[in-house]
Amino acid sequence: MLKIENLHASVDGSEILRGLDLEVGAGEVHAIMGPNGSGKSTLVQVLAGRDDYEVTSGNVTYCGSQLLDMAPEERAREGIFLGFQYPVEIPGVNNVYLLKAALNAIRKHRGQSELDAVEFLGLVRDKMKLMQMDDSFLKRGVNEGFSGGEKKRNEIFQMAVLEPRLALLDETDSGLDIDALKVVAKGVESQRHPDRAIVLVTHYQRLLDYIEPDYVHVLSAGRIVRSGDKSLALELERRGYDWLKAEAAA
Amino acid sequence: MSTPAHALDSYRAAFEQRVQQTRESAALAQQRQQAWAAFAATGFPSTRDEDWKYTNLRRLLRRKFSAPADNPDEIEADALAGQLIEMPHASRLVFVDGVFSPHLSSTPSDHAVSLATTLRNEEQPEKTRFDNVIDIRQHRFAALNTALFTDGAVINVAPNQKQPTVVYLVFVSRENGHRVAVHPRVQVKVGNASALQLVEHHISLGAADNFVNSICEIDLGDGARVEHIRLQDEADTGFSIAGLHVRQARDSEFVSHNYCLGGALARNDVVVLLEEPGAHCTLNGLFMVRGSQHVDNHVRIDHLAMHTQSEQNYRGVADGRARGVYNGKVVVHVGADKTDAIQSSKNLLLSDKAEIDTKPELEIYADDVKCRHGATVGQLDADALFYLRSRGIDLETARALLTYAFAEDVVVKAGVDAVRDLLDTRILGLLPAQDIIREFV
Repeated sequence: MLKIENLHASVDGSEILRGLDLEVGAGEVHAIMGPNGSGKSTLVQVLAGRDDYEVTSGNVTYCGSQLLDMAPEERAREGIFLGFQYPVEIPGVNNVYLLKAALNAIRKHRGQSELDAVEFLGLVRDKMKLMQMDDSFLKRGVNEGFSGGEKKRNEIFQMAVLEPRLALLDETDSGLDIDALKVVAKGVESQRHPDRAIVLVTHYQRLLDYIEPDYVHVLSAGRIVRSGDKSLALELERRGYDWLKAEAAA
Repeated sequence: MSTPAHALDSYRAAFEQRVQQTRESAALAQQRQQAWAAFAATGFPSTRDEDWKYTNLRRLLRRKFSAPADNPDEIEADALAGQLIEMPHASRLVFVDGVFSPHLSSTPSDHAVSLATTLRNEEQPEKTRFDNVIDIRQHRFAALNTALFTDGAVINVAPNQKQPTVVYLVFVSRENGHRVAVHPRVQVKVGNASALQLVEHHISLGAADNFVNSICEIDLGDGARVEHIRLQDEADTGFSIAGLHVRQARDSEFVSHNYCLGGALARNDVVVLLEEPGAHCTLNGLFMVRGSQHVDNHVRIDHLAMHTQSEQNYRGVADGRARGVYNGKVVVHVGADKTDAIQSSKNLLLSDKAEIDTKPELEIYADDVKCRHGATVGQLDADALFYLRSRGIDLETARALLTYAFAEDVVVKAGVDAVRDLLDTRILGLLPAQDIIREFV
């Protein structure tokens, strides 16, 4: 589904990604771990199309298309979803109307009919229950006045409604207490699907107690320095990142 | 800096004609003489005047305007369809190029009447006094208005009315064969403990390029409450100079919403005197300009007594080569202890050729006051734009949506549903992708 080859990207002239390779297939859950500043967030932002980052070389194909040629909104319509580490507050733009517009943009792109308000609300109610969100979420501005945990739940709620082909979840676990983490993890788990790939970016192994990854990759200094299964995450938990950094430098 | 004499010629001629033609009371004639003298002493302001440094009047002064006909051709009500605000319970007074139009108006009560009618019928000429609230030496366009006004509205709300009075004033500026200068005058007095909701709506028929120099003077009694909504929605060829001058007595509350969308050149002065303890005002403003429009908002609030409060929320959006100005000055006078004043000016630049100048000012001569101010000028939030795009919203729609949301913050404050609806429609009309954004309303 996603194939990244020798990806280099920089921001304000400093190189963050330095020759990253990664392949993600349908139905797979990948965890990307690594120390602060290793380029985890940069990777998912580049994949979602944030133009603050300049891709200096490399190639990314997504479902057979050149991903880097597409505008962020095209990527979204093609089924890429970015769950933000810091979801943006947008006062005055209604949370649920944004979601309806987002869903209809995707449906239209796929040649499906757009949902009206009634159909849409029917769909949304179930997913809200899943994410333990009350009706006030329907009326508020996008993330406006949400707590940290509410923002993250809102991201996964959006993902549940939009049903992406490729979900990129950027530090979805950060800043959550254990109860909120369980809700978020359950939401993500419920969306495992043979046609869907999920890439989890996380600093901590904790999230992986609740979402079991098929692959774990360690990012250091802009490259993947080691890949393995979930046991790699446990090893990282035990030994920290320094031994990998040392190994990579050697 | 005084204006070159020839630039005043047409205004002087209009003034001389006015004092000769009408048989007004001696008191009013004297006021007009004083006002003209105050105006003529210095003429029009120039950019060397501190209060006018961002607004060059060259475009206005280059043009010649004549006086409108006393009995203009009537216009059909249909011509205004779709432009008017639905306010079925309001007294509605419509003025066409400054002249009251009875057949377009509906005045079920005598709270609000045409000024020209009042002046004709008034048995005690001193009953309607002008410039009670205005310092005509400071405000030269107000002086010009006093010298030259011919019509407008007189609104008197008696004390202790249980129901709020609602008045809707419509000023229509027409595209004529020749440009006209009109000086509408609105005199408002609200008695103790009564309430008034006043909507002042300025619109155009065609690409009107007239000069509308309007003054609204409002006097609030003890415990009175006034909500004033001014919607400037003329064609972007018009010249609009507007002064809103307010005096507040004890425990009165004044709320103003100034929405400025139209005009080639628009200047809004809002001046509030908080004269007695407990007086409280909230001034909201929104301007949205594009093309080569220029809008200048000047606010001045004088805290003259203890325990007075003021709040300003102004927002501006400029696109194209347009220019916007916000200058808000709060003066806390000696003895006005326990004053609470807050000023906020937030501005959005949508193009790199647009410009917004914002300047909140504070002068404090009292003790134990609480004054805060903040001003920002910026572009659309890049994080919010990316967030929306990552949800499949295209760039143009995302930009429009964020602009709309920015403006809505001030629109929702208006206390008349029909005004908010009209503003929504108008603002959406100024933005691309309005069909999609409408979904979000």
